[in-house]
Amino acid sequence: MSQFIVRKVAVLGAGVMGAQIAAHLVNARVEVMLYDLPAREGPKSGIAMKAIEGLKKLSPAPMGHPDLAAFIVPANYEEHLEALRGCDLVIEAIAERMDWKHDLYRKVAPFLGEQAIFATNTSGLSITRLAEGFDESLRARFCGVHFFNPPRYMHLVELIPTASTDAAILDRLETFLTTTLGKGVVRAKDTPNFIANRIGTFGMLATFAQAEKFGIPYDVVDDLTGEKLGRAKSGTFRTADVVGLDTLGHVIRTLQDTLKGDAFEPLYATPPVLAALLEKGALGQKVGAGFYRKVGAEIQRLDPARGEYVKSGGKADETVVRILKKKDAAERIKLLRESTNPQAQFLWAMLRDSWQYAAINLTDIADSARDLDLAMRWGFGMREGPFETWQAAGWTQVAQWIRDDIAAGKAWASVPLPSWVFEGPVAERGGPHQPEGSWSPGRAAFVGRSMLPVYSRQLFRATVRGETAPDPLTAGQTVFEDAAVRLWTLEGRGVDRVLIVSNKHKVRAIGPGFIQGLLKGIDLAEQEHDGLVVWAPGEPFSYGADLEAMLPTFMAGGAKAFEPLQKGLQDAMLRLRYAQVPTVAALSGMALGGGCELASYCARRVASLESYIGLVEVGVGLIPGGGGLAWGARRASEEQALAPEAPLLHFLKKYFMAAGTAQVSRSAIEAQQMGYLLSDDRIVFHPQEVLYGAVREAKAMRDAGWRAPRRASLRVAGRPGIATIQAQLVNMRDGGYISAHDFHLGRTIAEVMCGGDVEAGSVVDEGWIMGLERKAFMSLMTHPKTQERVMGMMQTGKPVRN
Amino acid sequence: MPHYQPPLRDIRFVMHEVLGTVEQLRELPGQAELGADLVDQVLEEGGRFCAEVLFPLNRVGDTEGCVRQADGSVRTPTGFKAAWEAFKAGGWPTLTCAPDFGGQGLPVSVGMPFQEMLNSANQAWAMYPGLTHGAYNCLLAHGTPEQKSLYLPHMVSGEWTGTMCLTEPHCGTDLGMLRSRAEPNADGSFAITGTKIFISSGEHDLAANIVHLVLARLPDAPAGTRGISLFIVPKFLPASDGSLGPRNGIACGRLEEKMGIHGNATCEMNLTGATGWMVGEPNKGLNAMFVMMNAARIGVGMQSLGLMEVAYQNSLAYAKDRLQSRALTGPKAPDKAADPIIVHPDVRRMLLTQKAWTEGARCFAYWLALQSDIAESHPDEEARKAAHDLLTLLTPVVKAFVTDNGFASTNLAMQVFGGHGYISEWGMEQHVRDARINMIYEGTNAIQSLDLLGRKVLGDNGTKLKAFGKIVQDFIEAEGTREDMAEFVNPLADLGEKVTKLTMEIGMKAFGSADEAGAAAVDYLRIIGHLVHAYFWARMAKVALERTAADGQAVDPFYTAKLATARFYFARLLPETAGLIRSARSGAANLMALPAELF
Repeated sequence: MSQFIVRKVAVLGAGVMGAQIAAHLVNARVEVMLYDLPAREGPKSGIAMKAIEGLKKLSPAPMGHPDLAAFIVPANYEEHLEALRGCDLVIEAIAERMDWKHDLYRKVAPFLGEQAIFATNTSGLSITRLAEGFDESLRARFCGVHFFNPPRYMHLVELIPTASTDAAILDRLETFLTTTLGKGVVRAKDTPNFIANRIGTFGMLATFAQAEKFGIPYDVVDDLTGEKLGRAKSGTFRTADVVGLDTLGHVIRTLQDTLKGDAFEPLYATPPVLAALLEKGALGQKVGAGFYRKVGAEIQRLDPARGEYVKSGGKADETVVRILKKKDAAERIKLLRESTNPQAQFLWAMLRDSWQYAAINLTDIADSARDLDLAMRWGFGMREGPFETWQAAGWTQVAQWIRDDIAAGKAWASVPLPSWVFEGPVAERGGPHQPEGSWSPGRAAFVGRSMLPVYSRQLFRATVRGETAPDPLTAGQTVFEDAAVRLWTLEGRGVDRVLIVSNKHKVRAIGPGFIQGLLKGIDLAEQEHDGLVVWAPGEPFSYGADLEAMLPTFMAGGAKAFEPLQKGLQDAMLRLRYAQVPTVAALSGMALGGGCELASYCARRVASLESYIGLVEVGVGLIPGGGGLAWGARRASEEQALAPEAPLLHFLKKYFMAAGTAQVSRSAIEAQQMGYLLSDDRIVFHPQEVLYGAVREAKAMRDAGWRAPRRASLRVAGRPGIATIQAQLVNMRDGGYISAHDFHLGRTIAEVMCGGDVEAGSVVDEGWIMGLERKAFMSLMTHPKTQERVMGMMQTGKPVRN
Repeated sequence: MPHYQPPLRDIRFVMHEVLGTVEQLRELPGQAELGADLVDQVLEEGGRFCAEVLFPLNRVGDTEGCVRQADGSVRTPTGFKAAWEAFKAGGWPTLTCAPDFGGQGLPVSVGMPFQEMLNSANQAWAMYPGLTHGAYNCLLAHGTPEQKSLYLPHMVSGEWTGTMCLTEPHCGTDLGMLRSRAEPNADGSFAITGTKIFISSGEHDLAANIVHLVLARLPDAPAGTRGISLFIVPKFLPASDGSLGPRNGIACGRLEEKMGIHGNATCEMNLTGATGWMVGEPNKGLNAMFVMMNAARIGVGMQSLGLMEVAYQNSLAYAKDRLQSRALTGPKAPDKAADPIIVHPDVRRMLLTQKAWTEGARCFAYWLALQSDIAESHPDEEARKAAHDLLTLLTPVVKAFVTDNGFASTNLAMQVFGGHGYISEWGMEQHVRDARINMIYEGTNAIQSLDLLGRKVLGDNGTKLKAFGKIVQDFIEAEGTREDMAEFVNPLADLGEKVTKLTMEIGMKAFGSADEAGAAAVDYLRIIGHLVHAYFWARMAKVALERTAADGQAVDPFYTAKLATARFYFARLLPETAGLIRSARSGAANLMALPAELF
């Protein structure tokens, strides 16, 4: 079979989902046409145009950079049907009406290419019924592809075949969705609301019911069912407001309409509170009122008993928070169940009902417990899927508790658990997730993972608890390991020639131990390897310098004693840049301050789309002190050398502003615009593919004859540059845009980046600028305003503007 | 009349029910056979000695004081010597001393409650054995085998007593300025000349000999604290068989007149070429002396614990007995002329405050004693180090926090008595006067605060504090999921978080100016004191809750009282930390801005 390449995609329907799917496609540099109905007035593609315009203002941003909107081609069904023939993939994302969809399908079907894949982004309608009326060829190329909102950020895409869908088509689509768009694909069965929304919606209904039973207000429910429970920060009701109560109402109605006769049918009734809100048009965030509303600066919550909004901000009881903090799931669930606290009882009841529902429906909706768990993790932001937690808490014990509660009439539904829970392999082995695979009730076996070739790019795939998989903390060949770093190589011909440096700190803070390990890694790589990759499993890449680890030095010897540490950091950066083997930073998530410097001083970067890079030191009243300013000064000098007619300041300004205002890129694409990523750096869409890309990149660089850059000197803007920048800073300060300390920091950064008290155009080296960085850093460390900022950050986690 | 009842029930509660002292001590070498029964027996006997022999002398000592005779000898108050004889005869000095030198080898954990009771009964008298024990510890740690075998058996038996001679007229806190000189003699001894003041138990008629430990400088010593050496200077030079030889050149020049502890001789000691022998290494005398000073600082905490207990007992009895006015909510003792004053909320506040400080300090101090035992002899080096770190961290806290509270408590006890507290008859004003010195000597409480914040917390980047924080955190995690513990655990957890933040904040500010640490230190120590008390009160509350659990059994009212006191502590005393934190965060500027000449 020839390669499946998606050159161009058509998205039909420029609503919230369609437009955002189109946006994510342009993020991935896929050509996109966004279709909607022809407008009655103005340009015929006006509806799509408006939607594209709207994307720029949407938060969170659907595009890696707002300018990318220009690459989405607006279209309409009247003028542009012909253009559909050139599309390799057509995704339909119009309103959830079977009849409308069928109408549209009839209209577009004649124009679909013979090889084109046709997919619908329905969130719950039957794919099989949607396919009715297609000819055999199209039916084989038709399936459901269910993105979650917002599609750029939600990892899950459910792929739903019908009985007629060609298996090869599904594999192609899964490959495209995974590597090109970076999504986590779960194959679902064609049942109402598929997997995540089916389980998740019932979870919401159970939360409604149990919150009412135990008298827990919405804000407290959200605090309990958010991060503390290992779920999305916005909890339950806030999430509903964000998603839109109409959408929630719709998925609930789908359950009501399509699951007649289901054992849980009575529980699918729309909760009266929700019905009342829908009636009033309080559809959530988009209309400014739902379960919450914002009045001025105050967030209010609905008090259903009084039918009015009251002050919100209620928090979980501390005793319950402590229970939720217990690492041991068995202890945690037991304590929740046994606690006399109503909040704890609520949580147990809600979990029990959700688990009961998941177990009973697993056979119908998913192939295996793993698919269900991953769908809930990726689609509902849960840290663990329901079966994972249940299993960790003690499968049989929890099952008995659920059975007891059902028998005692405590459970919301009196539907018994399926027999596979109590009998056979799952009960014997203590849960559905086992080393050889996860339980598939349909196949009555523990089934393994998809081995589609695309997954070989994910060196450490997302795993479920209980599954055997290589652990990124110990995998491969360890060359050296201490408390701060692990130096290791992957196994496999070729890739084992690249040394990987993994920072073992939780947020990959850069302390003396890491620096030492990094230097050791560079030495080793130069002796025995083809290249060096800086990578650590998951996120962040690094939150920057480990000030806490440096504190004792400071305490003992003051600012002076600190200087050698800082110089050590700068020297390590230079060592990284001028290493005799290629050095590659494998980025994902935050790369802040020292982390940004670390990435910048590597020869190349391979970054996940969701890379947030920036020099944020001014937020804590400091300046980049690990070579970040020297890097900016060098980049400006290099850029000017290519355009000698333009003034140096013109190029410096970008780097000055980024550091001076602590800008952080909101995507790898934006990081490219800001200059933190260079044009030959790579952007990878699937976060689990970053290491794969980075190691191969390092290998390829070496294979292609890579040499370290020259230690070239650079030109600086000197005194006049400082004066020009300062004049602007004065305006900003006097205009009240920046504080006096911001001004001081801005001026300090300008002084460093302009090379200090020298003539314009003076030629210096990186070491000179780094010396200025150190001097300025030292004086700031003891500045009271800086200390206020450091303290503020430590105490509240938010920058102080003083 | 004043009375004192050894608080054996509460001592048992703390040792056996809360801390599990005996079980932990059994892990130590030589203590495998230790039993709670033995400990209880020792303390019961010790308590009887304190209550029957020493307590009646407390008033006598205060009114008579010590008298210096023309020949420089000092006469202690009537009965003090007889009590000393009884103390020796009972073997009490040997209690926690090493068997090698005639001691009974009991752990510090057993000695600590006895020390508390000695101080309740008679702080001034208790200082004679107290300093002796301190000198014993110092020699045990740093003396040569010859020095130990010559001096220790006599000190252990109580035949000889000891002192520590640090302070000089021009130098107290700043020992770097010390001037006393030690010239080497040909025979390896030294001739020491100088004047020492404020020497407690410096001269008296209780024992045949007095072993002074004296700080002095060698002729070639560097300036400052790194040029101080430590010497044994006995009052009578002993022969190698221990028999007493000639009188040494160290004598009491005068006695200080002072506010309290009248029964203890506070001497100016003149050394005129007195013969001494070096203890430990040259110029390292201060390090050697720190062994003694650390123990002494905990001892001072025990003095205030003792005073708080006895003052509380008396004010409680008075409050139940004294009839004045009617309760605000109507008569409670209608058959009497008036209600006992314990019906009044504020009298209860005063009583509960004393009770909470006393019982909290007891649990804290006994736990610290246990750490001291573990640090000394636990077979596992890690365990020894961990205990030693805790002891190091919290010694300034037990010294300063407990003595500050001790003064406040004895004052409240006096207040409960009204005018009868202010006159001498009931003994209440004596407790206040006695308690006052505890905030000053062995390093003022401000010095303790600087030691805590500067050296013990910031000096090691909070490592020791984090180790204690971990203990607190473990407790919070273990007990904090129980609803009935929430009222104790939640405020404890809250304070723990605030302490972490405050410590970081002060640490940051101290980069800019060391004055910032100095300005925050006293508030900081008090906040840490509360963290410690809150932790121990939560532990005590846990035990009390378990004992009062509704299982149909009759509840020992002791636990009901304990629980109520815990609730009082968390509701009324702990909230002080909010103000202290604000004050600690206010910085040095409000103290340093005013030029000295404008004061």
